[in-house]
Amino acid sequence: MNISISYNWLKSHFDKDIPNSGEFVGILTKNLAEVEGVEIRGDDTIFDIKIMPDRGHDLLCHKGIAREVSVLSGVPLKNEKRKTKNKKSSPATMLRVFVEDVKLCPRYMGLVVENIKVGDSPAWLRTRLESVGQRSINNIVDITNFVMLEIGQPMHAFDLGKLATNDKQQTTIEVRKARGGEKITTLDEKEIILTPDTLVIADSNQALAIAGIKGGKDAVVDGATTSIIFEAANFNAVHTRKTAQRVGIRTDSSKRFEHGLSPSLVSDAMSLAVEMLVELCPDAIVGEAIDVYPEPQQEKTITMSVKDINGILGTTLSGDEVEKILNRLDFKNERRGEIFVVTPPLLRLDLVIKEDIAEEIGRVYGFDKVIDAPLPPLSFTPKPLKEYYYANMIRDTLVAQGFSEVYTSSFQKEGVFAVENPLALDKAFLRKDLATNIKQSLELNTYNAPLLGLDEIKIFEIGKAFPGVMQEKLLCVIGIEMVKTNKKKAEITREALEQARTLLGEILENPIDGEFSENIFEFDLGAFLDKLPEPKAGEPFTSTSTRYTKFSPYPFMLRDIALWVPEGISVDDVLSVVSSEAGELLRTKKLFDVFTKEFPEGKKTSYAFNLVFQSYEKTLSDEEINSIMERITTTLSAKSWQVR
Amino acid sequence: MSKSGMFGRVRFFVYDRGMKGDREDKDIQGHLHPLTQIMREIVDSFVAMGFEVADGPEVESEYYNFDALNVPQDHPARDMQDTFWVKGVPSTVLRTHTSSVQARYMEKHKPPFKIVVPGKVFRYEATDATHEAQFYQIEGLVVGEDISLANLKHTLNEFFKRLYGPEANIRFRPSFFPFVEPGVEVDVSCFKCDGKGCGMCKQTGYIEVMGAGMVHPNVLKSGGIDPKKYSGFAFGTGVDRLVMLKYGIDDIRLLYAGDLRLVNQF
Repeated sequence: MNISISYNWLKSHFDKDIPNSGEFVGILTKNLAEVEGVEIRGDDTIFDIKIMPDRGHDLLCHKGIAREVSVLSGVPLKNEKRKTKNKKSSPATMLRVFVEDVKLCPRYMGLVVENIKVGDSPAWLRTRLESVGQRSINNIVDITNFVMLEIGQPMHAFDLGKLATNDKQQTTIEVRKARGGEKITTLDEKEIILTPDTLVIADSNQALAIAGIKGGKDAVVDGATTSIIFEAANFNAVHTRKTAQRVGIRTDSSKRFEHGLSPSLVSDAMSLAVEMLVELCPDAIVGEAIDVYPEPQQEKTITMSVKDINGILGTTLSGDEVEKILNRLDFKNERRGEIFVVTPPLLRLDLVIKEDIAEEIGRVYGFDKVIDAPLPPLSFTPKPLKEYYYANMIRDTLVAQGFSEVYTSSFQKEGVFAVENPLALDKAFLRKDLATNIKQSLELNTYNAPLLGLDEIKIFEIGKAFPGVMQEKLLCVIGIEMVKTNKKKAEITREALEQARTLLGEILENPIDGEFSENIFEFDLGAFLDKLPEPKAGEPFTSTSTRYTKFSPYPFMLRDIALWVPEGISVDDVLSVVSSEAGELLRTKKLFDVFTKEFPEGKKTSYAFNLVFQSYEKTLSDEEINSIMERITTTLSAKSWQVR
Repeated sequence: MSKSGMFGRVRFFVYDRGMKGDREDKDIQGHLHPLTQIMREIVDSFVAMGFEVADGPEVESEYYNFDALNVPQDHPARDMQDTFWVKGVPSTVLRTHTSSVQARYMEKHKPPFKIVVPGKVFRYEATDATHEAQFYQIEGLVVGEDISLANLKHTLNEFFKRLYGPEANIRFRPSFFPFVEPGVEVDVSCFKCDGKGCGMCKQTGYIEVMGAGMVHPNVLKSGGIDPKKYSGFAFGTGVDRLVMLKYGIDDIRLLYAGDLRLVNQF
């Protein structure tokens, strides 16, 4: 997932200067994550950073990135002590929280705040949010969004006045599965019918929010709100993802929960939210936080040795160097000689085994400092793979015979072995053979034959096909289409196919059986390979270094031209005139006939050419081509060559 | 090795004329598809470095494609939005990567070994000029005693020097794949500008070409190999992208169109 990070916001985490935005991009790219975009907006710079899924636990926020900047640059983070609220106050409403399933909601913290005034956020807060593309709504909602973007913990605020309260002034928040037929209407007036496996936040009457995903309209904080419940909670990652998918709503909140968050973040979020709220609404009456957290997250330890780390990375780090990096990372560690017992921070759910610690040490130390080392000698004798070696032998044989290789789609409209979730109806099956695609390819290329300058289309493909459910076969198919129609076309085509088959059989020293259908020959290469001996590896292949030229999507037009020239005038002499007069639109020119004849005035040669015209910009008209042909004819005639 | 002596490497008739220029009826040679050309060049380079070519099925069990590769049970990659599932056979997918061959090979072969695996893979993805639901990958896997990230770096440097010349060099950047730890992204110095910065490498001097890393202990365990005794590295690259970069092809779909207007340029 990508995250927008404001450079100014980032700077607020430091007392001292941090690397400038250019250096920042360099450090992050090399040691942490890819910066996919940098945009200067006013006096701020906004970075678009691609956070890897294993770091979604701790890096989808400014504080997370700030921690990394500190680790990687050595600039210490500002000492942030939460101001604890000093005035004792007790709200009129008492909050009770009931969590049905601790697995789906490992921690829920709720807190009542009364006597607040909903209004615009101060400029600094609006600037922060807007800098990373978050619209300012009102001071309360903005606090919850700020907290999420600051420390990565999503929050929510409910209008307490809209919630059910019993006669003892108690409001109950229930974290439970939706009841049959229960509905929720989102802020954008979308009604969602909740299935029974949807986790909701409810009061004693109705569902108020889809847990971790989206709040409902019924408890929305608006201009008339005077008291609220702040929610900071931890929801199960998989459950949140599946629900978000089912209801078709993915939010900044759900995306963070989907990565799995440490429940330890919940209290940090609430403290920050309360601190901000008291600052924005000094008269607020803040209640005690109700914290349902039956199984607090435990610290875990990873034991590793300096040798382990060097063994994985191929480095020669000393114990002291390892210790220094662990301390930079702020990983608690106990060192006994060359052995370390590391306690990763609670947020770092990604750190479980010593390889994880090796990666952390490696990236902070710098992968660029890992020095190349040849592999230790391995007693291994590679065996050439028949499928690879013989397929290439067939390719080379066919190419030498004028066949060109095509690749076609593995998906087809019809077949035997279907895909559960096809991309389109005409891609519902795996191809049952290669012949079907080759037939289409022959048609396509026959149509383009003049453009390609070909009299016959000769193609082949080698690939997997699926003639039955769970049947996978390596097939080879050869197709030939004689473009120039001929009485004996079928016969000649068959003969050419037979020839190719025979040649392959000779090369591979085994006769090849397969199926002929009109102009196509297909055989089971996989089965055929069983008959062949173990191969030897061939010479290394080198690819051609030509450059591709885009072809035109517009139709082409054909013209023929024939002329007499005095003997001694070469094809190239004629063609250079034709080319320069025809210009940009002449795509292909092909000599199709040449002969010499005695005339009273001397020997003359006749040349006949096919010319193919095509534009990159439009469909050409007959008139345009006629005028080009006239120009060519005029110029040729001016040389006293006779255009026939 | 053959009777006619036509094997070994076939020399190609090079069309530097392209579609814009002249096309004459001189070449009787056919053309090898650019995917084949690049794939063979890569695979053969590894073969020259002592690797064995291995392969596996395109229709693959969920186990080899995901479980054995340390991809968690509930990982989003397993969703229908990301992976093709076949009809009528439970827990069976069109492999999403050639990494699926890792555990298959490990089960049948004792370390040490060095393999390279070319093959077609599938992703549930709407197709456009830069996305195809089918494409080719090449996977590499080396397992033995005392194998480190420094060996991976050396191996890939050697490979890219073979492919792009002695000036080529690589760099690692932190990355994540469930089946390796540590995991890195591999960039190679731009083969067009030799790292000076140009349009192809977006002025960075480097092109992202591979994912790689040290084989996760759980993957070794899945393959029946003791991670306490053995370690290894793996890498994987997308062939289509390399083909498109090298030849300047702007639409991936053309590679699977059976169209000689593309193939006959190579």
